[in-house]
Amino acid sequence: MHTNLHPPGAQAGVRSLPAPADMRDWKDVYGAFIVDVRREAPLYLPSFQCRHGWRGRQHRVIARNVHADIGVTTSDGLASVWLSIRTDREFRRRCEWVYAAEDARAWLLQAAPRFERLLTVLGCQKTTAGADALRDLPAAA
Amino acid sequence: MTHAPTAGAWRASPLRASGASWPFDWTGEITTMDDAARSHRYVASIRQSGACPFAEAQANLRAMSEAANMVSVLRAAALVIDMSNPEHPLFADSGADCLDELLRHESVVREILQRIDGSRLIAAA
Repeated sequence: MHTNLHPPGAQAGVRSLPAPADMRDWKDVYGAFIVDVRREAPLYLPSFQCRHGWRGRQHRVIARNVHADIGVTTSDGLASVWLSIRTDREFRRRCEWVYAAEDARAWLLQAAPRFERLLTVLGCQKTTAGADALRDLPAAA
Repeated sequence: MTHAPTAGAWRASPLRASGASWPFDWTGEITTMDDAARSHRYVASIRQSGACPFAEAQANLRAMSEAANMVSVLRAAALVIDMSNPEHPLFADSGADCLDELLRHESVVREILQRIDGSRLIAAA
Protein backbone atom coordinates (compact mmCIF):
# COMPACT_ATOMS: atom_id res chain seq x y z
CA MET A 1 0.00 0.00 0.00
CA HIS A 2 1.30 3.42 -0.91
CA THR A 3 -0.10 5.46 1.90
CA ASN A 4 2.19 8.44 1.29
CA LEU A 5 1.32 9.11 -2.31
CA HIS A 6 -0.50 12.31 -1.50
CA PRO A 7 -0.79 14.76 1.39
CA PRO A 8 -3.37 13.86 4.05
CA GLY A 9 -6.88 14.85 3.04
CA ALA A 10 -6.05 15.38 -0.62
CA GLN A 11 -8.15 14.34 -3.59
CA ALA A 12 -5.80 12.26 -5.69
CA GLY A 13 -5.36 9.98 -8.64
CA VAL A 14 -2.55 7.56 -9.25
CA ARG A 15 -0.93 5.98 -12.28
CA SER A 16 2.24 4.08 -12.98
CA LEU A 17 4.93 5.76 -14.99
CA PRO A 18 6.40 3.59 -17.75
CA ALA A 19 9.60 1.89 -16.64
CA PRO A 20 12.37 2.65 -19.15
CA ALA A 21 14.82 -0.06 -20.25
CA ASP A 22 17.61 1.86 -18.57
CA MET A 23 16.49 3.04 -15.13
CA ARG A 24 18.78 6.06 -15.46
CA ASP A 25 16.27 7.34 -18.02
CA TRP A 26 13.52 7.37 -15.40
CA LYS A 27 14.08 11.08 -14.78
CA ASP A 28 13.13 11.78 -18.41
CA VAL A 29 9.88 9.85 -18.00
CA TYR A 30 9.18 11.76 -14.81
CA GLY A 31 10.08 15.09 -16.44
CA ALA A 32 7.67 14.41 -19.31
CA PHE A 33 4.87 13.63 -16.85
CA ILE A 34 5.49 16.90 -14.99
CA VAL A 35 5.29 18.76 -18.31
CA ASP A 36 1.94 17.03 -19.00
CA VAL A 37 0.58 18.06 -15.61
CA ARG A 38 1.73 21.64 -16.09
CA ARG A 39 0.14 21.77 -19.54
CA GLU A 40 -3.19 20.15 -18.67
CA ALA A 41 -3.90 21.51 -15.18
CA PRO A 42 -4.58 25.13 -16.25
CA LEU A 43 -6.93 23.89 -18.98
CA TYR A 44 -9.24 22.23 -16.45
CA LEU A 45 -8.55 24.49 -13.49
CA PRO A 46 -7.66 27.88 -15.00
CA SER A 47 -7.23 29.67 -11.69
CA PHE A 48 -4.03 27.74 -11.02
CA GLN A 49 -0.64 29.18 -11.77
CA CYS A 50 2.62 27.28 -11.98
CA ARG A 51 4.31 27.29 -8.64
CA HIS A 52 7.24 25.34 -7.32
CA GLY A 53 7.49 24.08 -3.76
CA TRP A 54 7.43 21.04 -1.54
CA ARG A 55 5.22 19.72 1.23
CA GLY A 56 7.48 17.71 3.43
CA ARG A 57 10.06 15.80 1.45
CA GLN A 58 7.79 13.83 -0.88
CA HIS A 59 4.99 15.98 -2.14
CA ARG A 60 5.97 18.38 -4.88
CA VAL A 61 3.74 21.39 -5.48
CA ILE A 62 3.29 22.11 -9.18
CA ALA A 63 0.57 24.76 -9.25
CA ARG A 64 -1.32 26.92 -6.78
CA ASN A 65 -4.39 29.10 -6.63
CA VAL A 66 -5.83 31.11 -3.79
CA HIS A 67 -7.36 28.01 -2.16
CA ALA A 68 -5.37 24.92 -3.06
CA ASP A 69 -2.25 23.28 -4.43
CA ILE A 70 -1.93 20.79 -7.24
CA GLY A 71 1.03 18.51 -6.81
CA VAL A 72 2.77 15.31 -7.79
CA THR A 73 4.20 12.61 -5.55
CA THR A 74 6.27 9.70 -6.82
CA SER A 75 7.17 6.39 -5.24
CA ASP A 76 8.15 2.99 -6.61
CA GLY A 77 7.28 3.99 -10.15
CA LEU A 78 3.83 5.26 -9.21
CA ALA A 79 2.93 8.89 -9.67
CA SER A 80 0.08 10.53 -7.86
CA VAL A 81 -1.52 13.81 -8.89
CA TRP A 82 -3.30 15.47 -6.00
CA LEU A 83 -5.40 18.50 -5.17
CA SER A 84 -5.21 19.70 -1.62
CA ILE A 85 -6.10 22.73 0.46
CA ARG A 86 -3.12 25.03 0.91
CA THR A 87 -1.03 24.70 4.04
CA ASP A 88 1.59 27.36 3.42
CA ARG A 89 2.32 30.19 5.81
CA GLU A 90 0.60 32.86 3.73
CA PHE A 91 -2.62 30.82 3.62
CA ARG A 92 -2.53 30.04 7.35
CA ARG A 93 -2.02 33.71 8.10
CA ARG A 94 -5.03 34.54 5.95
CA CYS A 95 -7.04 31.95 7.90
CA GLU A 96 -6.41 33.95 11.06
CA TRP A 97 -8.32 36.92 9.64
CA VAL A 98 -10.96 35.52 7.31
CA TYR A 99 -12.78 32.23 6.80
CA ALA A 100 -10.25 31.19 4.17
CA ALA A 101 -10.28 27.49 5.06
CA GLU A 102 -14.08 27.24 4.80
CA ASP A 103 -14.03 29.04 1.46
CA ALA A 104 -11.27 26.72 0.27
CA ARG A 105 -13.17 23.60 1.28
CA ALA A 106 -16.30 24.83 -0.49
CA TRP A 107 -14.24 25.59 -3.58
CA LEU A 108 -12.59 22.13 -3.47
CA LEU A 109 -16.01 20.48 -3.48
CA GLN A 110 -17.00 22.59 -6.46
CA ALA A 111 -13.79 21.87 -8.33
CA ALA A 112 -13.80 18.11 -7.70
CA PRO A 113 -15.51 17.13 -11.00
CA ARG A 114 -13.06 19.23 -13.02
CA PHE A 115 -10.14 17.72 -11.13
CA GLU A 116 -11.48 14.25 -11.87
CA ARG A 117 -11.57 15.12 -15.58
CA LEU A 118 -7.96 16.27 -15.28
CA LEU A 119 -7.04 12.96 -13.65
CA THR A 120 -8.69 11.08 -16.52
CA VAL A 121 -6.76 13.08 -19.11
CA LEU A 122 -3.52 12.38 -17.27
CA GLY A 123 -4.28 8.67 -17.18
CA CYS A 124 -4.68 8.57 -13.41
CA GLN A 125 -7.15 6.45 -11.53
CA LYS A 126 -8.89 8.25 -8.73
CA THR A 127 -7.89 6.81 -5.38
CA THR A 128 -10.38 5.81 -2.74
CA ALA A 129 -8.48 8.01 -0.34
CA GLY A 130 -9.30 10.92 -2.63
CA ALA A 131 -13.00 10.08 -2.51
CA ASP A 132 -12.84 9.77 1.26
CA ALA A 133 -11.06 13.07 1.47
CA LEU A 134 -13.78 14.76 -0.49
CA ARG A 135 -16.48 13.25 1.71
CA ASP A 136 -14.57 14.25 4.84
CA LEU A 137 -13.79 17.76 3.66
CA PRO A 138 -16.51 19.60 5.59
CA ALA A 139 -15.40 17.88 8.78
CA ALA A 140 -11.72 18.50 8.25
CA ALA A 141 -10.16 21.13 10.49
CA MET B 1 25.66 4.78 14.51
CA THR B 2 26.11 5.97 10.95
CA HIS B 3 23.49 7.60 8.79
CA ALA B 4 23.74 7.52 5.03
CA PRO B 5 22.83 10.65 3.10
CA THR B 6 19.48 10.59 1.29
CA ALA B 7 19.66 8.04 -1.53
CA GLY B 8 19.62 8.90 -5.21
CA ALA B 9 21.25 11.37 -7.54
CA TRP B 10 21.25 14.77 -5.91
CA ARG B 11 20.68 17.75 -8.13
CA ALA B 12 20.54 21.47 -7.60
CA SER B 13 17.88 23.85 -8.85
CA PRO B 14 18.90 27.18 -10.36
CA LEU B 15 19.66 29.93 -7.84
CA ARG B 16 16.87 32.37 -7.17
CA ALA B 17 16.84 35.71 -5.39
CA SER B 18 14.52 35.57 -2.36
CA GLY B 19 13.00 38.97 -3.12
CA ALA B 20 12.92 41.80 -5.60
CA SER B 21 14.62 44.34 -3.35
CA TRP B 22 17.78 44.51 -1.30
CA PRO B 23 18.62 42.86 1.01
CA PHE B 24 17.85 39.48 -0.55
CA ASP B 25 19.27 36.01 -0.23
CA TRP B 26 20.26 33.55 -2.90
CA THR B 27 18.20 30.43 -2.47
CA GLY B 28 18.65 27.10 -4.16
CA GLU B 29 17.14 23.71 -3.64
CA ILE B 30 18.63 20.25 -3.65
CA THR B 31 16.39 17.36 -4.61
CA THR B 32 17.13 13.72 -5.26
CA MET B 33 16.11 11.61 -8.21
CA ASP B 34 16.21 8.03 -7.02
CA ASP B 35 16.23 5.70 -10.03
CA ALA B 36 15.97 2.60 -7.83
CA ALA B 37 12.92 3.83 -5.91
CA ARG B 38 11.72 5.76 -8.98
CA SER B 39 10.93 8.80 -6.91
CA HIS B 40 11.79 12.49 -6.78
CA ARG B 41 12.19 13.89 -3.30
CA TYR B 42 13.23 17.08 -1.58
CA VAL B 43 16.54 17.12 0.30
CA ALA B 44 17.37 20.67 1.36
CA SER B 45 17.12 24.36 0.68
CA ILE B 46 20.35 26.32 0.64
CA ARG B 47 20.14 30.00 1.53
CA GLN B 48 23.12 32.24 0.95
CA SER B 49 23.63 35.94 1.48
CA GLY B 50 22.76 38.14 -1.48
CA ALA B 51 26.09 39.85 -0.85
CA CYS B 52 27.79 36.75 -2.22
CA PRO B 53 28.58 37.16 -5.93
CA PHE B 54 26.22 35.14 -8.11
CA ALA B 55 28.94 32.93 -9.61
CA GLU B 56 30.35 32.13 -6.18
CA ALA B 57 26.91 31.38 -4.76
CA GLN B 58 26.24 29.10 -7.70
CA ALA B 59 29.57 27.31 -7.18
CA ASN B 60 28.72 26.88 -3.49
CA LEU B 61 25.36 25.35 -4.35
CA ARG B 62 26.96 23.01 -6.88
CA ALA B 63 29.53 21.88 -4.31
CA MET B 64 26.79 21.23 -1.73
CA SER B 65 24.75 19.22 -4.18
CA GLU B 66 27.72 16.88 -4.60
CA ALA B 67 27.93 16.15 -0.87
CA ALA B 68 26.45 12.65 -1.11
CA ASN B 69 28.78 11.71 -3.97
CA MET B 70 31.75 13.12 -2.07
CA VAL B 71 30.87 11.01 0.97
CA SER B 72 30.91 7.84 -1.14
CA VAL B 73 34.30 8.78 -2.62
CA LEU B 74 35.69 9.54 0.84
CA ARG B 75 34.51 6.12 2.01
CA ALA B 76 36.32 4.54 -0.92
CA ALA B 77 39.47 6.55 -0.17
CA ALA B 78 39.31 5.48 3.48
CA LEU B 79 39.20 1.87 2.31
CA VAL B 80 42.41 2.38 0.31
CA ILE B 81 44.03 3.96 3.36
CA ASP B 82 43.03 0.88 5.38
CA MET B 83 44.52 -1.35 2.70
CA SER B 84 47.76 0.62 2.97
CA ASN B 85 47.95 0.43 6.76
CA PRO B 86 49.99 -2.57 8.00
CA GLU B 87 48.16 -2.48 11.31
CA HIS B 88 44.70 -2.63 9.77
CA PRO B 89 42.93 -5.98 9.21
CA LEU B 90 42.28 -4.99 5.58
CA PHE B 91 46.00 -4.41 4.93
CA ALA B 92 46.94 -5.53 1.42
CA ASP B 93 50.64 -6.02 1.10
CA SER B 94 50.63 -4.75 -2.42
CA GLY B 95 51.00 -1.20 -3.70
CA ALA B 96 49.51 -2.29 -7.01
CA ASP B 97 46.31 -3.54 -5.37
CA CYS B 98 45.94 -0.25 -3.49
CA LEU B 99 46.52 1.71 -6.67
CA ASP B 100 44.00 -0.42 -8.56
CA GLU B 101 41.39 0.19 -5.88
CA LEU B 102 42.10 3.92 -5.99
CA LEU B 103 41.94 4.12 -9.79
CA ARG B 104 38.61 2.31 -9.78
CA HIS B 105 37.09 5.55 -8.51
CA GLU B 106 38.89 7.86 -10.90
CA SER B 107 35.96 8.48 -13.22
CA VAL B 108 33.60 9.20 -10.31
CA VAL B 109 36.06 11.73 -8.85
CA ARG B 110 36.54 13.43 -12.21
CA GLU B 111 32.79 13.61 -12.81
CA ILE B 112 32.26 15.24 -9.41
CA LEU B 113 34.99 17.80 -10.10
CA GLN B 114 33.60 18.48 -13.55
CA ARG B 115 30.14 19.16 -12.12
CA ILE B 116 31.51 21.39 -9.38
CA ASP B 117 33.80 23.25 -11.76
CA GLY B 118 31.08 24.56 -13.94
CA SER B 119 28.75 22.25 -15.71
CA ARG B 120 25.36 23.85 -16.01
CA LEU B 121 23.00 23.39 -13.11
CA ILE B 122 20.34 20.83 -13.82
CA ALA B 123 17.05 22.61 -13.68
CA ALA B 124 14.27 20.92 -11.76
CA ALA B 125 11.98 19.15 -14.20
